[in-house]
Amino acid sequence: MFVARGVKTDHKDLIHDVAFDYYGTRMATCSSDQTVRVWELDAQEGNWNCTASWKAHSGSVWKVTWANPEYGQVIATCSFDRTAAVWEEVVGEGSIGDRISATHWVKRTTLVDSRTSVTDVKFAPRYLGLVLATCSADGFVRIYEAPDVMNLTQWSLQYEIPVKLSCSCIAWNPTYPRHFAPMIAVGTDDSTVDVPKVMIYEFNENLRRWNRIESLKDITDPVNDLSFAPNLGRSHHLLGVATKDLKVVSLEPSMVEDENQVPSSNKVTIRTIAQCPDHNSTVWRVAWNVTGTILASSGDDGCVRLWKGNYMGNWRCVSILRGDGTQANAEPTSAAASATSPVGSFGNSRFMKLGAAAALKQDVVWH
Amino acid sequence: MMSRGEGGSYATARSMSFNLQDGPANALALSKDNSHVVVAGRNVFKILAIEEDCFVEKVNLRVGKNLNLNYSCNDVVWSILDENLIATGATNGAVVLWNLSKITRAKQEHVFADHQRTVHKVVFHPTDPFMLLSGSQDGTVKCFDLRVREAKLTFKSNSESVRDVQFLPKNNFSFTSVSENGSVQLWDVRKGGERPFLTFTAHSGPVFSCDWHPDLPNTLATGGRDRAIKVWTVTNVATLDHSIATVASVGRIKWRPSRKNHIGSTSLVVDASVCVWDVRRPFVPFAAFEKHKDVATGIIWKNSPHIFLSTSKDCTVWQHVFKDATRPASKAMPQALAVNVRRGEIAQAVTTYQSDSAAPPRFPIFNRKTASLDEQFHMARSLFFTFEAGRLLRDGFRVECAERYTLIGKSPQELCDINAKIALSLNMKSVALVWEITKLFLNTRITEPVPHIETTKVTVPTPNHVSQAPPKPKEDNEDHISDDDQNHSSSELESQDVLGEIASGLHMTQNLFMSAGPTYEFQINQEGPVLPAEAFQHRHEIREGSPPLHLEDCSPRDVDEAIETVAVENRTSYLKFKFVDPVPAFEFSESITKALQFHAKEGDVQTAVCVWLVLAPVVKLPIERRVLEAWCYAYIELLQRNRLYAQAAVVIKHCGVLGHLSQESTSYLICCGKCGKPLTQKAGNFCDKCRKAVARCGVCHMTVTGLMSWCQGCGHGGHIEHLRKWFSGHKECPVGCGHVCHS
Repeated sequence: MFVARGVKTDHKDLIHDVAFDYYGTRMATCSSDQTVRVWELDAQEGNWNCTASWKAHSGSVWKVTWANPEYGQVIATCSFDRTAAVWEEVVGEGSIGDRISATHWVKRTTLVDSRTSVTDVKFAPRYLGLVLATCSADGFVRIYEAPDVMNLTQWSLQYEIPVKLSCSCIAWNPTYPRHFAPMIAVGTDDSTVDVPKVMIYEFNENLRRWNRIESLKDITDPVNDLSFAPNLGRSHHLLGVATKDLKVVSLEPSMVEDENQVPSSNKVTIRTIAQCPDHNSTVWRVAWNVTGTILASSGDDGCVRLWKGNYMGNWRCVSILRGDGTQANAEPTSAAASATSPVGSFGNSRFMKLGAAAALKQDVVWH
Repeated sequence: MMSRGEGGSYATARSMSFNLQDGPANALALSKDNSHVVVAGRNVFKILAIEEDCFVEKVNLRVGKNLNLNYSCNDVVWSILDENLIATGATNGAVVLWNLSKITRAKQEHVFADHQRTVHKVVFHPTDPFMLLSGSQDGTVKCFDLRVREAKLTFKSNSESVRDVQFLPKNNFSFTSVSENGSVQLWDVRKGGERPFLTFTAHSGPVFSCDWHPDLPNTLATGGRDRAIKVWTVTNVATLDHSIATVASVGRIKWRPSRKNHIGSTSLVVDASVCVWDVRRPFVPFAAFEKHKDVATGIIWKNSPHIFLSTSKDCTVWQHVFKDATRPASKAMPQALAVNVRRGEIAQAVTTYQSDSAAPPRFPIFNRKTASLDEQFHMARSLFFTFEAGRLLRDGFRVECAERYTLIGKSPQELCDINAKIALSLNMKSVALVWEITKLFLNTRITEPVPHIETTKVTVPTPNHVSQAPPKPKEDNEDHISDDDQNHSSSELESQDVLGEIASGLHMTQNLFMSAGPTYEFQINQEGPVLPAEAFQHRHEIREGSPPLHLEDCSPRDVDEAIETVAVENRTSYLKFKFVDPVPAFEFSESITKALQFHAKEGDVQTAVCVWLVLAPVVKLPIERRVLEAWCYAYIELLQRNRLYAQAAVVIKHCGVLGHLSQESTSYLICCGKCGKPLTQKAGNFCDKCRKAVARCGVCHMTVTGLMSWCQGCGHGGHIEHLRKWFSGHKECPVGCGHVCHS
């Protein structure tokens, strides 16, 4: 059973991204209104309260991402204004009065290497240090590193990977690296036929460079979002791809078992293990749960669908979530959902009235 | 008239360009009938004919040998009333009049050299064919009478530089000027060059452009270096209606004809595109035209809302047609999605085109007409939801378990017992079962380290059913998502089948499972009698509350064999024997391993890691180090994300594969307690400055090696035992510094 809550964000234009921090107690949203908002979880009520909001860029802010808390309260944003920025929360000294203004977010650096819109920004997994990857519409993936984690104003451009296609999204493979080389997947929104839409890059320790090891040939439509599943000891990686439909791709590195060195698995076997057209419309976003067993996807039909693979490797939709508070089961026969979301309001969060939308437009096909 | 022309030309018009070759263009102007365009720049001054699908160069006005700065144009304007008359503002301050009807090649008619500095803007009066205005870097606006060929009036602005001037529409005697100090001034021509009748500050920083709405009365747009286009209602006072936030400084702005809310803009730097905005949606352009390779310098609508021309620093002139525009809003990510590590929460943002945020999410785009889409454009907002998906997403990790599990400090059997109860109390029956079975497995083993008295190597023809039987039950419930209790009955049953075999009480050494060949080692111990009792006892425990034991799969012969073995064991203290028949030697570690692997695959690394940790001191399960590392790493991360640092530390310490994690990000610095000088690695615990060993006991005055205790207040300390003795009778520091260490 699901409880849906509407949150009044006060963003004045579309929200393009939302990200939870490492602990799940803070949330950041970014919007075309050029602002970023940071939200704090009210542990008792379960509400999200906005604690900071500031104009981060002079264009739409596309993505926001949290750094590992080891490096402090740090977020990175990227924008249509051709820049990416790193922000740090600082505790203001001798601030006047109230608690909320006691902390504020300071821009630590602006990364200006892109000549076009920066479409995605992602922090690398913790073991790689304080490393940031950006991708931009001019077809470059750029990897930055802060060599001194105490000084967030210094970022050096470590690698510039020419993808040669307008990049729309990027994803790090979070797998603990002892037996895998660092890996990123890059998606493109280029709609030209016959160009690869998802490229896999791997870091070669010996050559000190990122190499394209594979492109996913099964995916032929522009890619909107990518996400690697957390790897819990599987020998293969799972990549969720949001494109015209939802795809789950397995990447199986042909591993060289060598105790001493990190094998550079130059070859990966790629298999599309699931193709889910259930949204019946473009899928925009994908996200994995923390154990990498459930994939959430959000489509143009306005629903969030949850997917899970069974022991046969068949991926099935196990739940459909709708913002109007209704929840339908995967099987249409049991669609009479027993969701009883309460109606009411307190704080800045509003409960949605159950089935309000369905009553409004009954002839509309939802999915 | 307009709509007729618009309809006809829009259908056939296409995007096209012309390369000027001679240099970048600064401005352009259309002839009265829209058939020709004049393009002017520092090194270029041409008239092009606008054909169906191309531009054709008609006249190059830069003729003659000695070209002076009069030809270097900042702005150009074509008379609305006289189609032969063109005026330019030159960079040297000259305002030049050109007459196309001249027969000579040089069309220059007259030069007004009134301005001291660059002329930024020239404009003809909309109805008076003889009135011309110019705004200049010298901070003045001059009004010229073309008949008398001199400046009639001079308007001194309050700034050093006037960037744009424009007559008010449908008003024959007023104009606005905008200047570099951010102010907008309205002047009345009739009142002469006195004070403006209205002045207001529009931007912080220079204003580069202004444009009166052709249809809406009193609506003025201004664009400035502060990266904003502002829309004002100007009556007796100016009120700000809209403010558009652009990516870069705004160069030129121009209202889109026959549209209330649309305005085109160019950037002064950075952004080469020409954007058309809906003033009601101030952050995302309604349309963008990305043909230019450098910033656009001038735009002009071709008497139609669908076609306009632009010039650029990239030396081209483009005719843009609206159908070729890119729509930035349609490329923008309309949704956001994130899964929280806590609470099984999902956050989603979806686009809606209704101002009421309670409305349903938008419908697929193809259901709507284009017109309504345009109309809805400015209403785009995001609805933001959080879903609590509860158990489903949390799958595989329970904070309660992590908090309550005991993983070290007791015997593995006890730990299993404790943890099984915890799991059961949280209604996690399958996990509890894993713990129970693990405990049974442990009980059947000889837990004390027993000297290998003798081993007999026997070769057993590998029986098929032995390797197949155990792992099956776990896979049965894999397709069930939730912890469905009913599924476990079958696995319980089969586990119990297995228990019969456990009774054989055989200790199997590790290489049994690791070795490739069928060479098995069995070792039977003198203290046999203990084993059967324990094994059977637990078998009864399991049986309670579960379906009756059924032994179908287990052939009677096997059971007999097992019992026989036990019997033999009971009688003889030490025995060597050989298997003649295949014996159902149950592969405990393997099945436990399979169970753990199953749980890990289902996302339950918690169970996998915890069971493994409990077993680690006594059994080495055949799990790949890589897999183990991944499990532990994942589990540690889960613990840390839930702020269970103590539990994470336990795992790091005892997992044995990720010990380096606790050594990361920790640095320590040693300094002398007496003088504070940092100790170098080389000197050890000897301070160079004090010429003494650093760690000295305050009681016995000897150097302390090993454990040392000291007072945080005064920094003195010593051997723990010595200090304990001292402080049992004293409260002051033993060194005599006077500090009361023990209060």
